Amino acid sequence: MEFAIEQSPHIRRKDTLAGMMTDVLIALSPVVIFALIVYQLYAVRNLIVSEVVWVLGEFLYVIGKSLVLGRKDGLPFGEKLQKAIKSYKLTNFLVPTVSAVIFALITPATFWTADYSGLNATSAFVDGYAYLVLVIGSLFGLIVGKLIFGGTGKNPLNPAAAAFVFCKFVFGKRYAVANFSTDAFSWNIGTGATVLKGEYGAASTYSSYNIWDLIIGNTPGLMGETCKIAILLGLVYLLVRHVADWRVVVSFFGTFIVFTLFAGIIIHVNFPDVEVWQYMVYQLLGGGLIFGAVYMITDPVTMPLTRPDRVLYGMLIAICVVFFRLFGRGQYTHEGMAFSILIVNAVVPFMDYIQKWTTNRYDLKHIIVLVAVPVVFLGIVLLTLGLQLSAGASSSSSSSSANLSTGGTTKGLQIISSFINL
Amino acid sequence: MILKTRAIRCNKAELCRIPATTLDPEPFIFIPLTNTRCAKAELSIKEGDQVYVGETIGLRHGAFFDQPILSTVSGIYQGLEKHGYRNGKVIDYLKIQNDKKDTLDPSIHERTDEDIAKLTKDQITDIVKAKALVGLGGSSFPTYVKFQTKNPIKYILINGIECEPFLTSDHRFMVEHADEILGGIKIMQQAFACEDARICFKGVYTELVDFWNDYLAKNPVKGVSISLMDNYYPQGWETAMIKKAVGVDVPSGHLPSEYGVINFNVATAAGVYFAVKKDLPVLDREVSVYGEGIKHPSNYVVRIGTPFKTLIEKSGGYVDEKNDDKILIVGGPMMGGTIPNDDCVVSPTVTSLLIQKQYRGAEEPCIRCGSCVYSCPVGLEPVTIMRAMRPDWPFKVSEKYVKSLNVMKCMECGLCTYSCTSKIPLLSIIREAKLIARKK
Repeated sequence: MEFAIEQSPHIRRKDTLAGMMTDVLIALSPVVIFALIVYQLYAVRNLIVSEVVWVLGEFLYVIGKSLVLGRKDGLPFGEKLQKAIKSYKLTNFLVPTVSAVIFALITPATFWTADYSGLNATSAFVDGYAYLVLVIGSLFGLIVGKLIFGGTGKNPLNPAAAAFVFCKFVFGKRYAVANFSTDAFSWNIGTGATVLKGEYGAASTYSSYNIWDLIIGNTPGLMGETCKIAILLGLVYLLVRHVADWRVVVSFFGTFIVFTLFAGIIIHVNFPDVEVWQYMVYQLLGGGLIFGAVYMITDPVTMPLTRPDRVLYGMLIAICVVFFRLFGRGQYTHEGMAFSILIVNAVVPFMDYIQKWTTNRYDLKHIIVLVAVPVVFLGIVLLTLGLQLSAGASSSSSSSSANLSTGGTTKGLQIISSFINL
Repeated sequence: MILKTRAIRCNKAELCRIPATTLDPEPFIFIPLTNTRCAKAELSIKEGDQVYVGETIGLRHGAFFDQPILSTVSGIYQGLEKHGYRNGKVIDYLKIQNDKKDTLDPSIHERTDEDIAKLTKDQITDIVKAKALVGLGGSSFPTYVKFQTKNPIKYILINGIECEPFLTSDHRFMVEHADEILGGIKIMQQAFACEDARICFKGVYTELVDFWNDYLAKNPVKGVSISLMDNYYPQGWETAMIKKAVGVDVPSGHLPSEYGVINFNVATAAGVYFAVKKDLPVLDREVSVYGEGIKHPSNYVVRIGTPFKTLIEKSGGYVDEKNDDKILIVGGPMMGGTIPNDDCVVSPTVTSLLIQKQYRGAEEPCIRCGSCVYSCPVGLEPVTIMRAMRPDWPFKVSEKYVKSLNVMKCMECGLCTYSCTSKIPLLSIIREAKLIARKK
């Protein structure tokens, strides 16, 4: 009997790329459900528009690529088209869907009106500006973030983060980070106050939110990032299914917690009524930190390849976020997480390319770097923060102390809020 | 999945319990004239001559060594015939009509224990060389070359790990030929002047562990002990085994004997016993026939030179014979090669035949999950090699870059391809990279 010829090995592990991407979508589902419950039609609009643009863009890319590559085959156009459609696979649908859902969840539900007088109160599907933002952002993320590098798996930058940061720059002024009002949504008991309104150092939003509000998502914020319980459910699923590398997640949270605890100590010394743990917890739960840490930094495409590099990757992102959070000014600190991801993504190719550095073992050089990087940066952070606080206290003591004392009862929380950016 | 592959799941525990059936030697036995290591050969017999079991009937010439050709049955030599070899090529075979008497060659005399005790290391080496003993784990590396080492040996390791999924022939061999294995170890202890001999096999096979504990309690030999191994692939790789058994790290490109360790397969140990005690070459071999393409998977003990077709008939034949998308693997599913048809013959290094469906999964784009990097036992980055060999559009393959990636360290265990989430044939790409790296 004749047999086929095949190179070894002859067996394969059962997991597939489509399965892995489906797992990511399942992990995103608690957040999507939360967004659908709270933001209703706004969430539906964001998800549909974003999904259509990403998937359609990828479809056209796959068809176009196949036609361009096959232009010299000499086949009639009909057959070429059939061949092109055959080259579109399930993963070409699932991979952009993941990016589309993440981008939809980090796009605001409502936008400021053109004269910045308030949030656009029109119903979800009438707001033309929202469509503009979603379509332009999705196209940027898809084309510049992914396709020009060669499609799935070749992008150095996280497409969703790139799209988010692009939108933030282009549409920044009307991009409402906190955007739900009491009359529109019964779930929310918070006010329409936003961090965008609150200037650095001023008494602002956090005095009205306790930790429980932050955990269940009863705060203003982007659609996906508020409900920490939903996100952590997704994280557990990702880790159980080995879709996310636990090294990145653990090193990210570990570094961030240690840095904010030390920063909290310095702040506690200057403002004794701010508890260290309180500062750390508010920093951890505030803003898009956990969302980014669970769904964006765990994207394997933009991660380094080896174990020590992945630990370092998580650390570097955490350090970047700490810098943005502590020393950033104005409105561009809100997307510190997305910026940090993009900045560290740009470093990753160097980690992988340098053959003398990259190995999967924890060599002495890796251990030295993994210890030295956090220690050095912690020193820089603490020194800068200490100098800044002592300088600020001496120069503007009259104005800021007046500002801080206006809140009255919850002075500590006001000070925390002055360092938190949603 | 971002996951390091450790144990490969299979129904090995069941297959291990099937006792090996001893098959009577076939009426015609085929002995390869040349093999992968020896390209030329000359015969000392002509057509119609009577040959005996263990008779030297020719000499194979290799690049570094010569190897005698030995008959495994007694009968009449009937000339050369073309058949497939396990590397896929068609080569000449000596066809011997078996007279089923198994008459020993007159020059063969069993050695008594006293005779053996007097043998020096060089004499043992010569015996092993004259009996054409090769590494029976699959390497077919001549055993006498290992015996020639000048380095002082501190540990003798006997490899019965068989970490490939589905393979059970070494397992059965260790149960059914314990006496021979122990006899071989005693001769090795004498040859290398080294007492510390360790039999290495996986601790998960509790029946085997109990068997050998009992056996060694009944037949105590000074210095011989059992070393239990972890259940992962590739634990049977000699570097991994040495590391686990005696804690010595052998860098790639070095021989274990440079570090005072020498290792043999269990079947090779028994082969040493046959060669020295009984003055015979390896006559029989444990072969497992299994896979989804065969009706009754079984273990057999067959004479060297038996055609594969006999084994397949005894196992009930193929399932669904008309399908042509099946593959016949000689060896394990991870490292074994396929052969184009079943017109092939059992040689000493054939341990198993696996008939299964061809892998037809589509290749997806790499998402850099890193499973291959995590799984690679030699610390390579298969995905980086893949990217170097398949650069994006404006770039071309850079030979300098490929050479800087240490591809020659790869020992082709196949874990990268096995673990790949995107089902990319990484090992095939690494083989191409090796061709580039070999260029001067």
